[in-house]
Amino acid sequence: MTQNGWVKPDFGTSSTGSYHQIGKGKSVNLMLCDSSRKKRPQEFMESMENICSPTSSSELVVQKKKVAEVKCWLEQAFSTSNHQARFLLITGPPGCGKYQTLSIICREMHIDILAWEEPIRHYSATEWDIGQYKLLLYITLKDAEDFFNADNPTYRTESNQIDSNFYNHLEEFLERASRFCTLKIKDEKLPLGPKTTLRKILLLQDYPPMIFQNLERWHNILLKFGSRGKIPAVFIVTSNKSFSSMQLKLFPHDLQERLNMSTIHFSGLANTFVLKALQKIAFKSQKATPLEVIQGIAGSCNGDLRSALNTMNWMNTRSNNNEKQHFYPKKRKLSSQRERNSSETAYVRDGSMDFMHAIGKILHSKRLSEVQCNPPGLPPHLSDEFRMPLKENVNELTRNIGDTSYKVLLYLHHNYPVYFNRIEDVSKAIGYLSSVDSLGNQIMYKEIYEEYSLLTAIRGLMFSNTSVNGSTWRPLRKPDHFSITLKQQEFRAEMQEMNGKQCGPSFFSETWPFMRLIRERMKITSGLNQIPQQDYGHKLEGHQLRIIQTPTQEYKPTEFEAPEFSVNENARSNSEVDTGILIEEYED
Amino acid sequence: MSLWVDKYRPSTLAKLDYHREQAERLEKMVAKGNFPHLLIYGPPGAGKKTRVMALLRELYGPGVEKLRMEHQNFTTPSNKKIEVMTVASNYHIEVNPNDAGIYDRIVIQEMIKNIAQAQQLDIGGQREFKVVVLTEVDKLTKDAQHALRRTMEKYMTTCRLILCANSTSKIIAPLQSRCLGIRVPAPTQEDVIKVLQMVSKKEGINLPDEFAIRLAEKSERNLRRALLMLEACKVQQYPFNAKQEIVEPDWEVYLRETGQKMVSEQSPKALLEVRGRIYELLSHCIAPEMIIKKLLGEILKNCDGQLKAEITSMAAYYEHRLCLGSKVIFHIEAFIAKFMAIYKRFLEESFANMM
Repeated sequence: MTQNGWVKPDFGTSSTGSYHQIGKGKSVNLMLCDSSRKKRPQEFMESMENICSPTSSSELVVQKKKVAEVKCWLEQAFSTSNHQARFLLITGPPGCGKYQTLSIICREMHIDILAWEEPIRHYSATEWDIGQYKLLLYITLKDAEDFFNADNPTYRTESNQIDSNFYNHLEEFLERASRFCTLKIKDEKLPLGPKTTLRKILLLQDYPPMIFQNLERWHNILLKFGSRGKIPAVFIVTSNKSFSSMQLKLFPHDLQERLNMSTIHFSGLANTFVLKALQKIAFKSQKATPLEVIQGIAGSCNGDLRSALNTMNWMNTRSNNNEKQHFYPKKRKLSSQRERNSSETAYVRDGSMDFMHAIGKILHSKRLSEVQCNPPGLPPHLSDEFRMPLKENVNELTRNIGDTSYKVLLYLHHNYPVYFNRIEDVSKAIGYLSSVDSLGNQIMYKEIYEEYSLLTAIRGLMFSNTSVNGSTWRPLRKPDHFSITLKQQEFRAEMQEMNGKQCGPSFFSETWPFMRLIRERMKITSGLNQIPQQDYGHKLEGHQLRIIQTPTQEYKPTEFEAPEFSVNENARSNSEVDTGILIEEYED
Repeated sequence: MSLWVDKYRPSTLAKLDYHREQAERLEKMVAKGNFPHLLIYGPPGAGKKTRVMALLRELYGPGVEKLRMEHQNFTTPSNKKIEVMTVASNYHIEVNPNDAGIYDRIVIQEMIKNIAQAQQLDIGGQREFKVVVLTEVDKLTKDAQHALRRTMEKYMTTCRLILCANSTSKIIAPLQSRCLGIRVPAPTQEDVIKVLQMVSKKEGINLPDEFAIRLAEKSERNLRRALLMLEACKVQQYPFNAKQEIVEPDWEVYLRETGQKMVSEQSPKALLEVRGRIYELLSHCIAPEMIIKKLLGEILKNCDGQLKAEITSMAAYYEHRLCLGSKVIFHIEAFIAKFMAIYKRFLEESFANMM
């Protein structure tokens, strides 16, 4: 592949050829790890990778502490003489260099990485990425046949077969990975010492959806590997938070404990880090990219270095095509707002509007202060309804919010009262939310209604607030709704277990309060409990269940751990909003 | 230890304390050995469930009281697994389809199909049908109610349905017409007093008439509540004093405090505080309709005549919306905010008049 190959406008990937390209040569050196390589044409990526891939751990832009942690873990994993399999879980948002860190350190420590790659096209073949070589291994003859007949549609549609096939392959892979040594292939460039072949780790970073259908089997496979496997295993999970539902499903706490698994969480790269890296790369690649463009890219990438690189690559494409007058806007002349916007749109990611940012914008609905429009022309009795024009384009805001209306509504509802000063406005606003909920619940029209309900809620909230004021800092919190529903379910289930009968609404409002009281009293009178509790029945704060053990503790509205739910990948929340409001970090 | 409510629950139709005429009719109906699907409705604490169980006992004998709890699993078309708890004897099965939420249709169809398709073995003069008791039918989705309509006709020979509901207003007309509607009205105050006296006598405690009347009044003609109150008062203080304080459920006290908070302060901040309290109640499975109702009762005490009408209509409006919607807190909060806004306006106006 030539150095300039990626410039070609050919975006098509050859479907069969890419199979081998994936496993091509220096796969470990790739800055851009597997998932992106599959999505994007190979040529496009090629040039950057040689230049920008770090060659040593000192060049990594990842936090030094994290690098040290990974290194430390690897050293420990190989220090024990009995080669007991050990487990490491690396989590972090996309593009923060999880794989890259691991691979660089491994290379420095002369450790081979055996990577499981989800065979997307053909479920019959397992790829073994052994060190820097990739072998295609046909497991059985039948599988091999299937591999060649993979176009056969019936084979693909039989999901059950694929499902079990997948697990079989995974299991086999894990088993063989620890049993066999790396093959030594003659035309190896790097001289591998006898020692290096012994040191290898296993890497899993693709989790196909089939895993989630049969999690039990997955856990069993892991446990089996934990007891029998001889080499350390590293799992990489891409998630925005240190603790996501996917991670919890794949590696529940008890499993982590049983496997003695350690966890390292990578946080997203800080903008300054990205900026530095980009500058270095720009310098290396000898393509003069103006500083402000780099800054713009770094600012809009949300800590995702991979996407930042792609964007820069893309920007360079244009400069290469001698469209320099377009690329270097003559700043003094093109100073008007519109012109700047048009050049920005080239590298600002689409739809990456921060979720919390959007919520903040809606709740803090800024209006133009000076009348720049015609006089309202409202009759006097409606003059209350007059509002200045909004600063934001609401339709655009709604479109960019990029999340389900369900979640947006809950967030808006949970946080709006803080932004209001007058109870009249609040009552109007919640009226809109109530309408949205009661109208939107008809299942038949749900999909059609989704967009309307969101718009109604957003516009309603923005309209109702008549006294938007200043720059006070107001934290955004996650809604209690989920934790409350969970509590409800738990409480109901417990009560049913305890009573051995169904519990209708009257049970909770009548039978249970009295029953608890009566039992409590009986205990006191029979001398089991000497503490007088005269006003027990009058305090709901004491509403913990004393008779049966329950996790429901006292209610403290803000300290809940809401159940996890998926958050938009781009929703990073520690950004400074231009309104001057610092949005509270979501992980909090 | 079982509560008096359960301990002294009449087990046969003959032992029922009030609505004697209705009880005799039911006895006659059972004696004939066959009956149509039943829809039993009435306010809470009137004795619907007691009558259903008495009826079943009459029908199948004491074997019906050997209950076992079962968890049944159903799979929705979208491959979601739902678990529903049922209580069953050899002859009947009781289920609250609401446990399945919006998937109640599947539960109803699958379960009734399973039961109805298994033919009853004819041992010693048993009935040729089984009984399915569905509770809280008025909370069923429309979808499920329509499904029930079909199911009812299809399996008429092998199973009978007994539906329990608080009101028929939310049950679709075709369903109502397929069932024999039996209304169980709330017991009169005298009935309640009679039962209270009877239970006290059996327990060997002395219940002064004056206190019994107060209990009956406080119970709002809800017998379950009356009996629970009696027992709670007994453990609280015995022998009874006519002026003794009657124990109330703690959540009602809590809700009263909440109402007072709403009256004393009207601001977004106060609303947030009240919301926290409502969440607390909701997480203890207090029905949202009940919350609005009790809250209304509390705040009406502080209102003027005209304001009362306005606020009551507000409460009705949002309770209706609550039934339509899915996120109850939106509607309860809307009611609270509306009240606060109206009340604040009222306070400001009356203050201006005074000046």
